[in-house]
Amino acid sequence: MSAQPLIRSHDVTRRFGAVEALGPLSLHGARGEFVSIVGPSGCGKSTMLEIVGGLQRPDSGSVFVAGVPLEGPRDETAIVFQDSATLPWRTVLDNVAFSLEARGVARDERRDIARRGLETVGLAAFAAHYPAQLSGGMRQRVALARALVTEPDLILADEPFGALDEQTRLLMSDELLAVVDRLGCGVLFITHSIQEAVLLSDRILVMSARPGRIVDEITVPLERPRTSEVLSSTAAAECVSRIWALIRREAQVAMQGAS
Amino acid sequence: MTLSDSALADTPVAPARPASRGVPPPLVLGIGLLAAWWAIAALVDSAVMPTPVTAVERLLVNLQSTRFLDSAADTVLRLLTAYVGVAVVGAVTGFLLGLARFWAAAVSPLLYAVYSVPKIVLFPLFLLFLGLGDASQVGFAFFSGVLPMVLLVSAAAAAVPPLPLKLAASLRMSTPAVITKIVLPSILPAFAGALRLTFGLTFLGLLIAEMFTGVSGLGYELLRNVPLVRMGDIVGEVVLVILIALAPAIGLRTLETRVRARFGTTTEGDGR
Amino acid sequence: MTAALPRYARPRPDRLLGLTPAVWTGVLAVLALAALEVLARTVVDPIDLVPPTTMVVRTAELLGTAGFVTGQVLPSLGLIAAAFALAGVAGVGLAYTMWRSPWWRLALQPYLNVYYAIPIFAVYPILVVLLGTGGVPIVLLSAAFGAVVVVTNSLLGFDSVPEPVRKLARSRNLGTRRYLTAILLPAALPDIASGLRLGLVYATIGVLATEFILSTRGLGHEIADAYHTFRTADMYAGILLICLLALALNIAVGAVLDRLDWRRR
Ligand SMILES: Nc1ncnc2c1ncn2[C@@H]1O[C@H](COP(=O)(O)OP(=O)(O)OP(=O)(O)O)[C@@H](O)[C@H]1O
Ligand SMILES: [Mg+2]
Repeated sequence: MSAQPLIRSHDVTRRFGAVEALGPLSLHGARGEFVSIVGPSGCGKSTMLEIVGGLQRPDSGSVFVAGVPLEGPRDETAIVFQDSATLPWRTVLDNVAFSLEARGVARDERRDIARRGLETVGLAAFAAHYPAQLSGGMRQRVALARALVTEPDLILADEPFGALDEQTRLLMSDELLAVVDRLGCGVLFITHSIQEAVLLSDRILVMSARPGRIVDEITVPLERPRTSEVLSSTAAAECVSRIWALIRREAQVAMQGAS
Repeated sequence: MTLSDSALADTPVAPARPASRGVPPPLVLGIGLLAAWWAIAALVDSAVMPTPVTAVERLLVNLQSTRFLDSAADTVLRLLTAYVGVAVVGAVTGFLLGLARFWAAAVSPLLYAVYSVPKIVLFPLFLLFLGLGDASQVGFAFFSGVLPMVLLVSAAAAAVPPLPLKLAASLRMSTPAVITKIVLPSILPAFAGALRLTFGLTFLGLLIAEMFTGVSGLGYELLRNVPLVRMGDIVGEVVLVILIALAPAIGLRTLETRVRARFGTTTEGDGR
Repeated sequence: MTAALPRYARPRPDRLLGLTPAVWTGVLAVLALAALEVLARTVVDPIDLVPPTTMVVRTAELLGTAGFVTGQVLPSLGLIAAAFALAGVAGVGLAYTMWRSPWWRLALQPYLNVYYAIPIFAVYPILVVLLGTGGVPIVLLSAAFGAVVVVTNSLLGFDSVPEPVRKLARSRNLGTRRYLTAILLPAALPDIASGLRLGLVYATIGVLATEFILSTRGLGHEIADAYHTFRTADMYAGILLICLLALALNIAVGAVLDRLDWRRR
């Protein structure tokens, strides 16, 4: 699968004061590959994502994206944050257009593109609304649309569907799979839901409790392109229970560490 | 010394209440109070206690004298000068301070300490260094309003939520673009609140300064009538002061409510 | 194509030149005082600007004078205490009546909203004409100045009882009095405490300002008098004393009120 490595990190660590948050952690991802990270709460998933996004610097270790050592944020990477990060004073449409505005795309053009982006996430009817008039899940879809309209080659998504209800979550997963296939981009996707990871990913990385490392790696034996219907297959069900068995122990460690 | 937003914000903007049918209660209360004042004045029937009619009559008479009109104009002009100064100087200083987050954290406690001193006792210093004229009165009025403006705006600028900033960084936005598209819109609600709050403080400072200095202005006119026991005049002037304060107060409140509705609701933190 | 992370997205540095913001606060304060001292001893006329060290000495001398403490400091403190107590009781009481009666609240709210935009000290001359230059008009005005901030904060507190708790209370059939003592007051206490804190600041300002404008004794009056009779050293000493008193009062009362605030525990 890894024809050309898009992401390659080696022995990345990060600490906050006395807290060792992360690592050493190594991972890789290819162009067109969908990689998910699952792991207990507080194990450093968001931190790792921001490091790959160039928003934080690792204390040690190295990160290469598209063959270049990472110094900071890069144009072709789009990030969907854990909280939706919509700007409350902008309409939904202008929130989506925001990422294009930052690139200097002219107003009419970026609004056209943004409108199409909103259709993808099923919010075309809400273009003129303000974020405060939307539910948390809808706002998260706005953030997803904002990431997709820049046509990135790498998407970093931090639990983007965490606030969605089960049905919307499945529909959005289908949408995301279709868009990713169309763009041919790589994805690093954080989720709490094992089922979601199995549905979306080519590979799933299981992280340990803090300081987070990769303790296991599962290749999902399902063909792409796929839709949410694969979840009813026995292969998917087996995959889910295998991963659950693996992370059960880490989750217990994390819970005891937290109390 | 703790620095908190709430310590500076006296009257939080109340949520909108449902309108009731019939005569608005505030109007009923106002009329009731006026009637009570009238009744008491009529019952006491002394020169010391004027009726509302006497007070308004005295005010109208006073408004025909050039000296009084000049005094009123002086006050309004000083108030305007000082308030524009507070809004511009305070907001710009606060904004720049807030952008330098480290220095905002270091300097704010000092400003807050100065703010919490009853400022009136510092007024003689203004007289010593700026003289008895307009400069000391405008200066003191400015000083009365500028610190909360700086503190509120800088706190807001330093507390712009990190997520929109991270988003901007991931889009590789330039610093000027971040300032106009993210920082300024997110501090607008705090700025509108500070505009409302500092207006009252500026006017208060000015009036006290005028009362103490005794050269001209409405504060001076008020105090001048005390030894003469001209209650009708005093009450009439108080009515004028209230009228001068009321229009901007209501306007600024409306402005704040609008700005908060448009820029205030932060949607961060519930996407979890 | 990558570039370094822009400054605005980096976290605030913990230290500058190895010092934390709190240490810098101290450094800046010392620097400001030192600058004043140098200025007063060189450029500025010492009649206009008294060096801080001289201020401290003079303050100590004044405090050693029996007449000053009993004649000026204690009366002012007494008035502040009276005004604060009155503002607190009236403020919380008024807020409770407003909480009980929606009509009353509707009627009062707009007046409270614009209250602090109106310079209430304009009323002081009226009180002086009616009641003379004694302590009564000072206490009344200062209490009126401080009460409204207590009202608005207390109302905030009364409104803060969460809906589920209200429902629970209703399901348990709590009577009005039990509801008041078991739920409403405890829930509102932190907000009432912060209202009282501000009320104290306002009452202090009120007392000193009215004494300053027109009165026959007290710290505010003493400063005004020192100014009028060109006793600049005494004036600065008085100002310093007031700063220290205000600080001490805030810290002391703040500490007491913090204990009421269960949200900080
Ligand atoms: N800016 C920061 N300052 C101090 N500590 C931090 C900071 N960011 C993260 N941490 C700590 O680092 C650890 C990892 O945080 P991170 O947000 O990466 O976890 P996570 O795996 O994303 O958790 P969750 O699943 O709950 O989102 C946590 O213990 C957190 O408290
Ligand atoms: Mg996270």
